[in-house]
Amino acid sequence: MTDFTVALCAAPNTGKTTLFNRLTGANQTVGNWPGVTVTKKVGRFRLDGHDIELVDLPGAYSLSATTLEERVARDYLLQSPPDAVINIVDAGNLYRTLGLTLQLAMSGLPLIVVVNMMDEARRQGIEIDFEAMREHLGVPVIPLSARSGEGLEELRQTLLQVLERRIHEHPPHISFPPVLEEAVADLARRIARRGPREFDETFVALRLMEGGDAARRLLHRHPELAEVAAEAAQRRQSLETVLRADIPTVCAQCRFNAARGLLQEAVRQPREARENLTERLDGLLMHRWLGLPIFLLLMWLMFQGVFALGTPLQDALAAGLARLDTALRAWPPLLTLPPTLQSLLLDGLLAGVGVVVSFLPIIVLFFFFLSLIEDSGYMARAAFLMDRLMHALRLDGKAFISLLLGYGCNVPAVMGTRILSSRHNRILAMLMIPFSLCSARLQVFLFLAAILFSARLAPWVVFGLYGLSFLVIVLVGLLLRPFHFGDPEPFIMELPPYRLPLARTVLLRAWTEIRAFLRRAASLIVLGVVAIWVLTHLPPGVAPASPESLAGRIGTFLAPLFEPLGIHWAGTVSLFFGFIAKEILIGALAVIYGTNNLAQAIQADMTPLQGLSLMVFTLVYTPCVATLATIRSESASWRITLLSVGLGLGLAWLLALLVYQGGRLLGFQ
Amino acid sequence: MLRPSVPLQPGVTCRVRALGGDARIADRLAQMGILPGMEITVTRIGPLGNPLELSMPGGQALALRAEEAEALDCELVRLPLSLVPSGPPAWRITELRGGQRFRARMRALGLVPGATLEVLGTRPLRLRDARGNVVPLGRGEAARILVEPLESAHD
Repeated sequence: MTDFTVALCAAPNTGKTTLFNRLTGANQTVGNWPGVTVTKKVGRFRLDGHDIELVDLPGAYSLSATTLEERVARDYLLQSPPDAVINIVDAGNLYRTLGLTLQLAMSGLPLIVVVNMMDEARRQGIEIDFEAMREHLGVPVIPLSARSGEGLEELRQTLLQVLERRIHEHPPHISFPPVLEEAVADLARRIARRGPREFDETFVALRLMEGGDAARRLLHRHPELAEVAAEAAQRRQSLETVLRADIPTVCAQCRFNAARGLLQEAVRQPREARENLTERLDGLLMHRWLGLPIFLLLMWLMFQGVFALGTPLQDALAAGLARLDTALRAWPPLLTLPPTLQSLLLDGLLAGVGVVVSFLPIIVLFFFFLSLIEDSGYMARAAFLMDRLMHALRLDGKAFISLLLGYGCNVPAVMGTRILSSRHNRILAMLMIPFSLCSARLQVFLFLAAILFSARLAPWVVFGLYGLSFLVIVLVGLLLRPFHFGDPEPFIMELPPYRLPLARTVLLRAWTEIRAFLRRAASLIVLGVVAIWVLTHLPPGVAPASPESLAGRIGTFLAPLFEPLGIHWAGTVSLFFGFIAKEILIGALAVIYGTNNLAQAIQADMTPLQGLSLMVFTLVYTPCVATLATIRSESASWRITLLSVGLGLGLAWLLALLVYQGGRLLGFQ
Repeated sequence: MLRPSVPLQPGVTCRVRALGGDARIADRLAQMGILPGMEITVTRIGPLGNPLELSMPGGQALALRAEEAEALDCELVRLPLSLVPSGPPAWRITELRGGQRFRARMRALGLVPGATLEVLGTRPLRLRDARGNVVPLGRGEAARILVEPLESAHD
């Protein structure tokens, strides 16, 4: 039950998340905006007996959208106008954030402007005349510090008044070049006669004048504007010729001129502008020679933090589940069930739950460290330092962090692609991450290498596999170079001042991410594990993974395909299990050989070269079910998910073929 | 495009004449408030020569790739003397960035704000001041002297 919907709309780095958390507390859910890779956060809170839904719109500098995030924010406002909008500006640097504020104020949507980070601004000696701002913008303006909570009560009271329509707002007027002004006024008059009530007519006229998606969204909701829109499009062409610039750029220029005028009147600030601390820290962290080593050191610490802390927790959880499994196997009520059903519950469902649970510690830790890096402002620096290298793969610098994390575990790494800008970068990184040699694969390789190779050679085999993984990532990057996933976006990134992360924000982030993972990926993972159970345990009565099981038959059927790779039937069937989680492959081999002495069985069944081929195949073939489920939930696209599987299987087959046949040519067996 | 042409190195300040070049970049910059007339200073260069960190008035800092920054139509405002190419256009000192002793030493050489000079050679750095005297200067010292092109200062 929602009485009012309120949208939070602000430029990046204005403390949006902190204010969102302040207003909603832990009462929030994370998801994706329909069909895109952009995070959608919705929270709820109560205000004087009303139930308020707060929608956190992606960071935007402008409603004349140039990025995917901005398009999402604009489309939301145009298509489903909320009951009120809260816009946040940065008290320390009003200019950069006022462009959006002016657009929102002109929209005619009920608006409150929050001047955030007042504590910081006061320390820098910045004085703001809020009365002057209110007058210029025609909407309530509230000084606030989301970090300390100062001004929060005033915001709540004002929001209540705005929602109950007890405050009268009047859109500001901005002057445009006379030709544009005339055209807009003319269109506005015609819009006022028939058009939408929720928006100011000048705002609508400007959106129609800008054309493109914005106009389409408006027309979708208000088909009666079709005629005016057609005329706006006509005028745009002639105006752009006269003004020698496109309309959005001209409008931006006018808005920022107005912003400068407003600042001159309302803000007094000392000359020393950029904060001292940020400058000093950047001198070290962004240093030409020291910057990269420090970055790599910090990344190593993060990697250690996630996995050195996470692995014991994972082991503890796994041990707990194993005890539960043992207990359940001896539980009388369960024993009365038919054996196939027992197996489905224990080897299918419970195993699936076990896989889900095993990821929880790493996800919590990963997002804990990630939000430390993001909230402190270091993320932008990391992107700056790594950009040159990653740009060679047509990714931006932040992608390095995702790819690196993949070497620990693919799942949080794929979840982390959300930090990247543009859909193209996110999808590309998502497709590359599954080729990194994660800790699960490492277990398989350590085990197999130790059995099949001499103690002197085994470490080199594993090392070689790391090299291969790195090579495959670069190869995939080059292979996908010609493809665009979503519109290309220029790399223009703000370097925000450093700030101390808030414990509240960091913990809340980890908590909401866990819930999102459970809600969105968990069921798919369990489903995947059950599907593998079906393949390996059915038809009823067969021994698991025996030649008579479905997987066994498929393995026999696929034999001609795997023979050239030197992978025998047992290896083929074990790959089915590896899909659940790569480390299960070893246990599966023990079941398939039906032996207690696995090492001997493996040595009897495969030569070192054949083992190597199996390892290469295991490294590259399809991502595990959890990674795949995460790719699906992050990309919001089955096509990308299928592409990931196809790319993996195809490359795995080719590379294993190359290794096995190449090895044979060199005289190995 | 930067006029007159000097490499985009830390310390170079220029004024945007037009956002030109790539339309997507122009539009994005405009929506972020980076508009013609604004002064931009290169503060830093990435470890592998890319991207650039640019600072705007008001303390805003942006990262931009060099090829995209070069697409902007800019006019040179000032730069450290150490980056000035040798050749005819004359330069005027706008600021000495250093302590008392550094300024006193420069004053003794006739290098004070407002003084004009010409660069005869860059390696080693040799200057000719307004009276025609040749002044040798260390690179470290030159990096702390900001100069502006004399020609555009007139228009």
